[in-house]
Amino acid sequence: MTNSSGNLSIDFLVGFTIFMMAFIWVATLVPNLFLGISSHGIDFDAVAYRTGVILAEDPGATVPGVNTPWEVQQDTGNANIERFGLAVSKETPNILSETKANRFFNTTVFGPEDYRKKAIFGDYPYHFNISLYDVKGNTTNSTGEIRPGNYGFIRREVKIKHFTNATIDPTDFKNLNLTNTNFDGNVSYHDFSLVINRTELLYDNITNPVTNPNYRAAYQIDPRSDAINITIDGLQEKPYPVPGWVTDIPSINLTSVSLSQSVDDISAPIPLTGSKYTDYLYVNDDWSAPATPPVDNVENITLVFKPGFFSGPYDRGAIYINMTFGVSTHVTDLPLGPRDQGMQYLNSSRAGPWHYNYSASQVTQPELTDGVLEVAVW
Amino acid sequence: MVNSGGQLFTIEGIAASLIMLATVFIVVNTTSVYTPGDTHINDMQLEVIGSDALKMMNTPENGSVGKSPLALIVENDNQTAFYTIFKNTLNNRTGTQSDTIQFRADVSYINATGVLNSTSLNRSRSLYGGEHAVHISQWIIVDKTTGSGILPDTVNGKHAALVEVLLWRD
Amino acid sequence: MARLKDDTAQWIVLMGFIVSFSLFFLAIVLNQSTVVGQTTAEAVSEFPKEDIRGVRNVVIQSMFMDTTDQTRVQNEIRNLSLSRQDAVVSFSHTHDPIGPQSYYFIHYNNGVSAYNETWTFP
Repeated sequence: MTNSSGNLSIDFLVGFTIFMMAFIWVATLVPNLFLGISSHGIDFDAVAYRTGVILAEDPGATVPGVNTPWEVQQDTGNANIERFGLAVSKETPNILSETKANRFFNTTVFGPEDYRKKAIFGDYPYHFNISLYDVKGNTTNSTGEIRPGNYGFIRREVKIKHFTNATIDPTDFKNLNLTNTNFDGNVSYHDFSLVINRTELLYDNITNPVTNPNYRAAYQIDPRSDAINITIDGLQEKPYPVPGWVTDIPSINLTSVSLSQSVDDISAPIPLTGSKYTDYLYVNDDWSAPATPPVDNVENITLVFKPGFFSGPYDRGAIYINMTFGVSTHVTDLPLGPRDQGMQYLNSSRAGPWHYNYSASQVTQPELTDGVLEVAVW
Repeated sequence: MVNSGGQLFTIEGIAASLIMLATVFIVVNTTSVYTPGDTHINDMQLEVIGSDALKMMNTPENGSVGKSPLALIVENDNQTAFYTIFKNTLNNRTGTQSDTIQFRADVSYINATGVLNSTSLNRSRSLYGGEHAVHISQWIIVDKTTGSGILPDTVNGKHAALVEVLLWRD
Repeated sequence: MARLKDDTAQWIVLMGFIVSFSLFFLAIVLNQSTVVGQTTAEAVSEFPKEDIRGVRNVVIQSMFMDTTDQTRVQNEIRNLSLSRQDAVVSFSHTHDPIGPQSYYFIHYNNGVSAYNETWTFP
């Protein structure tokens, strides 16, 4: 029997209230339901953060059984790399190695799948863009695609540890005291040796006194993976001191250059031969092709050892670079008549080899400059 | 003598009341619509940038210096240098535009009587109170020499101090 | 359906209940997925990575100082860590009686995360 007095029955009110409550509650769930459908997008920031940590704070790793670091692996040895990492070592987070940074951004060797498997990780094939900006050099290295409008992002402030190099010029002759007066002044060839002592570079103190040994990796010269450039110039200038009877500027011929290394502090050096140890010598500013000794009339010599040139499992011992010069100084004013007088510049036969280390003033020490690493994932 | 004529109505009434109670409880208990700010992702990103910038200031530039730029700045009370270096490091980006992060820095230390004190280092602008800021800190060792005005109420010599910075975006 | 004994349309009502309850359950489950991003960011912020690194750094630096500086700096580290970072730090060192090694023990605990390390030098 319908009641036409205009009231609603209690039953209807209760039922309608329950219905409205339930409807309102489900309506508040709807936005979160739709958010959950595109669930792989919720973790872009987390994946970008993780990749940022792996690149900025981890030194990288190779698969078990491989002894050399990942940045000196051959182009065909990508399978040996387990994980990328740009930090110099585990104790020096946020300090990146220039060797590793240059190698990481080498897109001819590494493709997007390599970056996904070794830096980004995860089952979903993320798009990415990784960029490194060097503040001092104002250069940007990047890999990946162009960023769209919406992406997960992290920015890390880092420092980049640069390579070292050495320059030996005529003003160093006096400081180095590479003289053989009274001994070999008359010979027509000289040996000049340089030594890169791994034990000294990797295990000696960089500063005295020691402040924090954990950070030594950030300031040390690592010949196994750093690039080393040694320039010797001014060879055509007059040697110092100039004897009064020298009238002609000596012509210097580079007869040979050889490399050898000792694997610990007591063994004798073993020559380094093979195709890996070639193409490092450039003379007279001719950068088109490396030179092969013997070379006549050298004015300057540059030894360019690329990163990984001296890579190997040894962390003690030393690397020796022996250079033999043929020198003649023609003198005419002596009572005995014109004859050849040997030169004393750059002769280490008696003085001992020149050390490439932290205290040599000819070596520019490793320097840290600012950088910005940005990782975008979408 | 039980009359089962209205059983369904009774059961309906009990079920309805239980559902009402449960619905009220759930509606009151549920969270509102999620906003990106609730997820604290932006806070985490800001904290990472800030602590990286402070850590890079706390790294000596080469092996022979020994002390980091941050320790030297605190030792010399060089507030303008802190402002310039920290602001630039913080706002560096790979693109051309720099970021706009504001900061306020203090140095906390323990004085000679064992009480915690803090002195102001510098700020990019004052806090008005509505900013949503993250807090980062960096440990340093400062060497207080005679005649230096830093770290009041402490003896000369080496001290451990905490550089604390509040960061926010405008 | 006015009486309990009348079982017409029972299946429809039962299926209706089951479907609606299962939909509610799924809605609740999917509703919780947004906390994934939140808890990741909160977990990153909550782990005191930079605090631990900083404390470890200054503790190791203090080991190389002379005695008066070392005592003062180590007391300050303990004090500052407790008051500003809410963390208990304790450290000590021993020297190997035979060889050149020194062992430094560092303990850090902020109530949520604990860190223990034995650092040898050289």
